[in-house]
Amino acid sequence: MLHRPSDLFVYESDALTLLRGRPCAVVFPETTDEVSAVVRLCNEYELPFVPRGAGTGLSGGATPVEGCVIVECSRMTRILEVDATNRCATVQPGVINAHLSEFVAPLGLHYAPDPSSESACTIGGNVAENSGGPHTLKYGTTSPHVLALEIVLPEGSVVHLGRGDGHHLGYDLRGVFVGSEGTLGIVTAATVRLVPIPERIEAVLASFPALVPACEAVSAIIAEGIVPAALEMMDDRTIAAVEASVYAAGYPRDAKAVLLIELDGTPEAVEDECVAVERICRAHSAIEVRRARDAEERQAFWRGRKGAFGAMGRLAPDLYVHDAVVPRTRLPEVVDRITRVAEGYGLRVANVFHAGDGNLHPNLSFDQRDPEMLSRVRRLGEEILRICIEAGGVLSGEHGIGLEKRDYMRLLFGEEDLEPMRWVHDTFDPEDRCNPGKAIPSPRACTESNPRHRGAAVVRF
Amino acid sequence: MSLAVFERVLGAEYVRTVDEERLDGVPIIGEVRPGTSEEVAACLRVATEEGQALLACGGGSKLAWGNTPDASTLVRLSLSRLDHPFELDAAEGFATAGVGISLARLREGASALGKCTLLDGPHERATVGGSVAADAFGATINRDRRLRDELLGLQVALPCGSLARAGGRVVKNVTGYDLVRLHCGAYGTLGVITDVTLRLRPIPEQRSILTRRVSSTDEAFRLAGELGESRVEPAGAAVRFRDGDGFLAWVLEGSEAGVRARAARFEGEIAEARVWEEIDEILASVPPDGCARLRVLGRPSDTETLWRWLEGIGGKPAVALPLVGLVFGDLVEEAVPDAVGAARASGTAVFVEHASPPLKGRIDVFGPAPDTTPLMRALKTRFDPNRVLAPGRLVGRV
Repeated sequence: MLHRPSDLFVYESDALTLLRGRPCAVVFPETTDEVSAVVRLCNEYELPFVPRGAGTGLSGGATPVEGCVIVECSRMTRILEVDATNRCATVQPGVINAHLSEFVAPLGLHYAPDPSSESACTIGGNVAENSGGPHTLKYGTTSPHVLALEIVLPEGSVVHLGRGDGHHLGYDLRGVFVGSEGTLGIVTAATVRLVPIPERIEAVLASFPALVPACEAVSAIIAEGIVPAALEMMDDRTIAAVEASVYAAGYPRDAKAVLLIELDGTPEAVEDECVAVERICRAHSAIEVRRARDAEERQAFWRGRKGAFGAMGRLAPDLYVHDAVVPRTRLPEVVDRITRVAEGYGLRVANVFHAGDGNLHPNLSFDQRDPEMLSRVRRLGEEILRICIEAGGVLSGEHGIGLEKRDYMRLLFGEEDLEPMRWVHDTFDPEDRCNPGKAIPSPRACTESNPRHRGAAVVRF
Repeated sequence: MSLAVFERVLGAEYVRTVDEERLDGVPIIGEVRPGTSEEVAACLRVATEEGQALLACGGGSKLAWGNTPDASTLVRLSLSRLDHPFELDAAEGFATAGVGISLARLREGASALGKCTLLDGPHERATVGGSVAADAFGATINRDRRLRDELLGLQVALPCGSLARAGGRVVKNVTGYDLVRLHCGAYGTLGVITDVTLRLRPIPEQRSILTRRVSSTDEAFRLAGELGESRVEPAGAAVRFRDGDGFLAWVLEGSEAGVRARAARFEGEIAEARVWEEIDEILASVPPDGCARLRVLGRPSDTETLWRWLEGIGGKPAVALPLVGLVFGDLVEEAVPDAVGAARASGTAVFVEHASPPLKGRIDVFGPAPDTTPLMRALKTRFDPNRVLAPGRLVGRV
């Protein structure tokens, strides 16, 4: 357990550093029983508690509630069972995403959900956030990969959601729990699916003179019936940032957009699909279409994409990685509108997105020491969400709601839509003790009167 | 109670008295047929006020599933009029359909655009809503093909009389709790789904059925195991065996080159589509009089053990789906209570899909209540405090 103020400092935020809170202690349980005991103690002393994986979340899901106990899962790192025949593994929540894939690679298997933070983020955190990644297009977000969960309920008892064999009888509480952002309990073990490592993987890099033809190429690829493993897009500002950084991947600097398209499967099918993708890109005015010569070059293509957020550190001290989804066909107009609106705020947006599923990441570089700039970032962030929702989109594709977007939930949902979510919450956590104030906005009438719903974080931005 | 309260909501034309119909022995006293989502919600509000239990019903093909309703009478809430034209967006890859649309009609509409959905199953009467509420599936199922993963959004009418939306129309969405999955497989006990948005997929360029004749179940399951561990990645596989003769069948879907390559990896004879349709028909069939239909569940590698277990208790296994660990078969009703007890003792999971009302009165068709039953019960109470939506039907008689 940590409790000295100097030790607690690093736990004041997750990767959304704009939001901070002060815990009273951080505990590091190693077993399910210890998690349960901690939770029971928190109940006895009426202390709120916040589960935390590696703190890589980008929506403030693990931001401490003032005076809470952080239940940090970094010591729960055991891989409990690997069942290669049935292609699944049971792990403790602190197992790092990429470590699981490395562990099962000798069996020809891997864990498919691959957030950009895969080398640091944990399976428990991924379950809480229903995390996605570039390969979500073909393989889905975390939820379809979770067969069963052992959780500690907010009152301290242990229950099992779902079945390790993947069958469902009764309410799919497993499905509800995944993505509930640590508000319904703490994962202490997860049985997850493993999938075969593809026999053949090819990556195609296509550069375009403008964003619109690149987006049109994306739609044409999907319309052809091809489901790439990943279909990523970067705009010129991102390309410039990447190429000037240690992540330089050889992206053409004169391009306005590049598409990184990965195809996997049987060698015969992948070859056919590659040829089709290259043809479609050329037909949509691609300046250059390049297939990775070997695994090394493919990894270089990806190094640039996965390092894009880090590369943007060169542009300004702080980076706000936004996340929203729009219908795929609306991407060009939405990106264009966001760019224009950002100019009105005197801010520049660098876009990285999972184009195949319409998942935007408009990145805003700024300096949080400048309060006036911070205010503009906040207002632009909200406007970006409004633009996406007007286009038929949603608030988040993979980062979750957390604290960041909790109060924007009403842009998308009416009270009648939110009320059933509260019923679910109150069923699991009637005392509102487990990560309170996250994900679901309080009923309007109660916001002022219930002190538990206030002051979730000390800094709002 | 009088059905007049429903007439005030829907008009007399869409409310009728029903005579001599029962579900699991519980009299169905009337039928109401709302035509819009708002009317469904209004019916639920009225039922809640009056304390009248409702049974939401699509095509009625899965009504046998579930425990005996915990109600003295039922009013059938027919959703057949929620069959207004549906929306298909091929470019975005989604379909939004009222729950009363039949699977066949949705299939036809999607295929005109070169698309399909994973809503599967052969039953003529099956509807979109009923399939989602019952989490139904056909024989074309593997670990990657689950209906709940294909649902993007839905609207649901709640017992308090409101309409709530969950999810959206985009293929990637982590906005708030995932209540879409909560309602999938809830048998309409938390709310009545009024429309569904689900993913449209391209119709596979090639679909092939392959079979291998086998002379014993040992051989069938050995081959099924090899198939499951191979890089063939079938969309579905089934074992059929009776009277010393049988086969393993599997379906390959994908690009022409991909299917050709995968077909070459595991030897089999190309079969007619009919072979696979017959498997689907067996899954949708009703057991003979005096028999119950059992669904035995486990891990894929357990499939042979599940088959043997069913044989061992005197049952007749009909079909196994080895990629997902499922065995379907019939057992004479007198043997079912002991079988359920034996299953509990051996840790085998059994769902009694079809049984006579007297038998259903004696057992929980889903087997032993899991440790989440108190949570499920609490959830039911929050959503449906007056217990008007198919009370008692689900696991643990929730």
